[in-house]
Amino acid sequence: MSAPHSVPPPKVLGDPTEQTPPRQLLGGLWIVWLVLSLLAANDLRAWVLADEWLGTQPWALAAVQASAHVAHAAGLSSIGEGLRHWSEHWLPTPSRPRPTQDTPESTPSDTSPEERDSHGRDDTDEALAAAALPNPVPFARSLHRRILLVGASSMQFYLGSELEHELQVSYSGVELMRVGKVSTGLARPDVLDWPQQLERLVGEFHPDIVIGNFGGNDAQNMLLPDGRVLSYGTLGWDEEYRKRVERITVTVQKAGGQMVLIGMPPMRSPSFSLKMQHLNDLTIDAVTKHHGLYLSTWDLAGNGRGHYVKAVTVDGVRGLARLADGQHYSRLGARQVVRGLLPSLEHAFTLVPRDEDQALYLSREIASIALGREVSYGAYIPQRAGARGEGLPVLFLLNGSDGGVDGWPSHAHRALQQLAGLHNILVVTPEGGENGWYVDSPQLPAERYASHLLNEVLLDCDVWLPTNGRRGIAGQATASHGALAIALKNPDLFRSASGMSALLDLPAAREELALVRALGPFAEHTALWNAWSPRQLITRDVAAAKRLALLISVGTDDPWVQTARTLDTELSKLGVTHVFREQAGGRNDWAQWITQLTEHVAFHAQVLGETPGLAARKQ
Amino acid sequence: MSFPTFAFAYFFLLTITGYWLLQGRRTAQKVLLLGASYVFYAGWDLTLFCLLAGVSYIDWVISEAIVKARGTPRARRLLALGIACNLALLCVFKLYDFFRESLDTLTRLFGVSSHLPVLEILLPVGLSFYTFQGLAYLIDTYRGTAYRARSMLDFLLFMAFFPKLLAGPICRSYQLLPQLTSDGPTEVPELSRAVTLIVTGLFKKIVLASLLATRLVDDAFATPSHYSPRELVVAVYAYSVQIYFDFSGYTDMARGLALLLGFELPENFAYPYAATDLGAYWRRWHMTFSSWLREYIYFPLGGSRVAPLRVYFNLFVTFLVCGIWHGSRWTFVLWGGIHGVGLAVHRAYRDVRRRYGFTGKPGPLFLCFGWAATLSFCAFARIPFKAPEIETAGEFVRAMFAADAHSDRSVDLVVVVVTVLGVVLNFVGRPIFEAVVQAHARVPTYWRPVAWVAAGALLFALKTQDVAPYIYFGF
Repeated sequence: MSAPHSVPPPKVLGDPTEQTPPRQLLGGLWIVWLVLSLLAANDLRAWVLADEWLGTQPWALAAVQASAHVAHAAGLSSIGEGLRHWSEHWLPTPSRPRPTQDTPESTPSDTSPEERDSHGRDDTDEALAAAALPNPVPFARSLHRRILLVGASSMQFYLGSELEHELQVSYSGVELMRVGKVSTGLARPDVLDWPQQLERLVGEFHPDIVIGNFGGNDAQNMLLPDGRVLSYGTLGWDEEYRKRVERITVTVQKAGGQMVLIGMPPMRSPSFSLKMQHLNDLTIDAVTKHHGLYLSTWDLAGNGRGHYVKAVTVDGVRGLARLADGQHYSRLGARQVVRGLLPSLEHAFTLVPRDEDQALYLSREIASIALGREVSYGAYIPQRAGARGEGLPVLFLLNGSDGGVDGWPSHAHRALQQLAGLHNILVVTPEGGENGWYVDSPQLPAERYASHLLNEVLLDCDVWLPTNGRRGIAGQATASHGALAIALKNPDLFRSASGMSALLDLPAAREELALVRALGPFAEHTALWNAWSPRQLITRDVAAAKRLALLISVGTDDPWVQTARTLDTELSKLGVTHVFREQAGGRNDWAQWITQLTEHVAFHAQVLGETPGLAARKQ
Repeated sequence: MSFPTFAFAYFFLLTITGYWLLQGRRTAQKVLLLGASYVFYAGWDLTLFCLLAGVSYIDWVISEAIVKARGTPRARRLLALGIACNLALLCVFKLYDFFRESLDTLTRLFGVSSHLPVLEILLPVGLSFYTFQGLAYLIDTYRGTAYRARSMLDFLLFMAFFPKLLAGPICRSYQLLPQLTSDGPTEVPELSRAVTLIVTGLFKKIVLASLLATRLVDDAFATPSHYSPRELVVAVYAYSVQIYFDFSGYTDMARGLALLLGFELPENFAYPYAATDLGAYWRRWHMTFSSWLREYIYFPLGGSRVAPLRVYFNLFVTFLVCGIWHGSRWTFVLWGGIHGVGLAVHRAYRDVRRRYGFTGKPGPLFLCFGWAATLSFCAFARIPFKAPEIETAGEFVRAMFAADAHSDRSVDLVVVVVTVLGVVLNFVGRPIFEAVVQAHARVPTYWRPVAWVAAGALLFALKTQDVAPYIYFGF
């Protein structure tokens, strides 16, 4: 630019007088096209099979199949393949995967495949808990996880890099290897045979967890080894795709790892979105059949109603969620999705947060006699626990509303990690069945959640977790009833009880079908209903109520606000010391409960003992 | 449709067959080429065809109006309108998100949000190239220096001619329009050169550039922490060579394909990595674009006929525009700024030498130093160019200085060889190219298809499994 000048005239190379009759050029070009089409017949067929329009045209499929047969018969395809092999011999692909490990003190996984059970789960939980007596945390910090990330372009670029980054910065003892390859998937083994590749990778890296993401390039026709073509959208195709997903899942499990498949998100093109949804369905079937884990991104990357979302806000930065193609994640979009996926990974595998102020999540499974099945519960264990060599108080946070074991962990995982760490309190989230009332049903043997909690979860916690015998119990919505009823019936076991969106007068909920099913119709079983109703329990045994520290909170827009107000008045009249909170505009939903959670955990922590974490922060 | 695909091969085969079968009927040939160009462009996205046709039509109407109003104030207003239309398109499609993000970042500093909506605007491939071509035509028409299109058909084809549509060369009116208005050749001119350009272009893209991208560059820039400082330094040079092979490979193919249709497109590269100073580099790299910047940004700012400080400022501003032209990211602004500062410093150095009477030719040692410094400057300046965000560029630089990271890992020898080859070809490429052209010309006519098949088979064997789209399609 320093010496501006005009564009130089085109330089003429070769012979400027060379003139070729067009027919010679065209003849030559058509001959070259014919020969090269046969030499590259397999590539040509693969292109047609993958093309959205050509792949559905019978004439195009027939033409490329015919050219592949001709090339094969004439030996031309083997020349093409021979040339390819020759170049691969001279230019071998370097072994690119590189493990990243930023915890130099950690040692390779000492859990051999033989030490894992048939579900691919290792014995870390027991080992963690066993070492936990009285304090599991030092052992937890030395937990080592080898995680292999595999997949197509998303894994090669932003989804993979963000996942890798977040896993590295969020957890200690994580060793990672990422292998992503554009334009690959499970439908095109001719481009890259992922099952074979995975077999090699798990053999070399010995991962505890393999996280895969496939599908973006898979909604296309498949070529079978025998030369048959399975058209996308047919039952045969679905069956074959399922088999391929199963194959990679089994490959990982045979090597002693656990397969996690991340589903595809909604796409900008509605028709492509439908295809991804279909692939997700097939993947769920196949991966869960072999006890693998499926992580959905449909809501995380969509608007919650299955529609594509173009913009996201992450850490205050608003930007596009996808790249220009409307398919691949942008960095921001990937970051949002990955952050949404991490809690699920923490729930499934014990990953130790690098931030020691965050509690560690441990999932425990117990054989429940009360419920007649295997039941799990979650526990948030403060990492600084036992620093002074003593046990911790426990808050049993019951899962109301839908009562599943994932209720609180899936809606308030990060908040619980912080609160448990801050207050140095164990937070245990037991299962509460479909509705989370936590009653013992005399007629339904499978619904004895109060007994399950009192006789099994409580005992398991005392045996395996560093508890100090001080217990509190809390719940939201239906579980607020469960928490207060169980505490009022067992004032020797609990020191504090609290309810959010408190539903504390069981007879007022006499129309609730789940309760009717569990306790029988109210009119016929009034005594039983009253025996489980906090309001009636308080009236009957005021002394028990006075032994408990009580907190009741409710939103002003909650349909049960009036019953809570009535109970507040009655408690005051009876002289039962309690705290009653009304939140303006609060409803009976997760947003309200998460808002109330901070106060409830702090309340229990204060009642159950000192809060050194909090005290330290305040100082 | 990208050049090295089956889809394009079929498209081109049918187009060229039709084109030469219509030989002697020039208008029909041009209609065919225009239709083919629109089909080619619509292959990316159907709506893009409307955009291209719309911009071309607006530019044509305004340019004709400018001609009629020449010498009156109306002509100036029409020119302003034409420039505004083209720039508006660029701003909406290319710069809106950049503007929104920047404003958002700025307003967040004051605790507020700009509240500008996030629009998912699809960047039309080639937009920057054909709008700049249209702008050049409008300005030249106003100045009276344009070679005027004789008909709207000629102008539409001038804008849309498919070999150069997606990533240039950016043609000036005098470079392409005379060929369109002429009767056209009756025979295929310079077949040997055309074939050599196509094969060279394919080889550069699907073998060399892809090899560098897949074996090191893409992954090293995506996850620099996985690589040793030594590998990252190699990746920096390898990316420079990759982008050269990628873009010059595209240009070679564009020129070769155009030549098979009887059209001569301007050169875009003149062995830039043989340059011994930054000014020379920019006279050899993306020549049609740098000459555009010179004609329509640098000269109007005063060029080099102003006070030295103003010249440095002009250079800096011109290269900021150059950076922004590449895309709506601060990384491109940074890259443009680095080159602007580099050129200003180089200019200042020349001025100082001249002032103190050092006007003699530099010695070979000095030239070697200049060459190494220029190559390295351009290579390292591309770190922000390649990185999607400033932070990523920062990560890359930090990883380059992480002394003990992965020190046990060796550098992929193939990457080193191809990178060195890429640089060496800048010195010996032209004679090799000419030798190949001559060799092809000596091949008897009826043996030529055999040679073409052999070249095709070799390319097929050597090509990497996945060939990424051309880098400059994203600009």
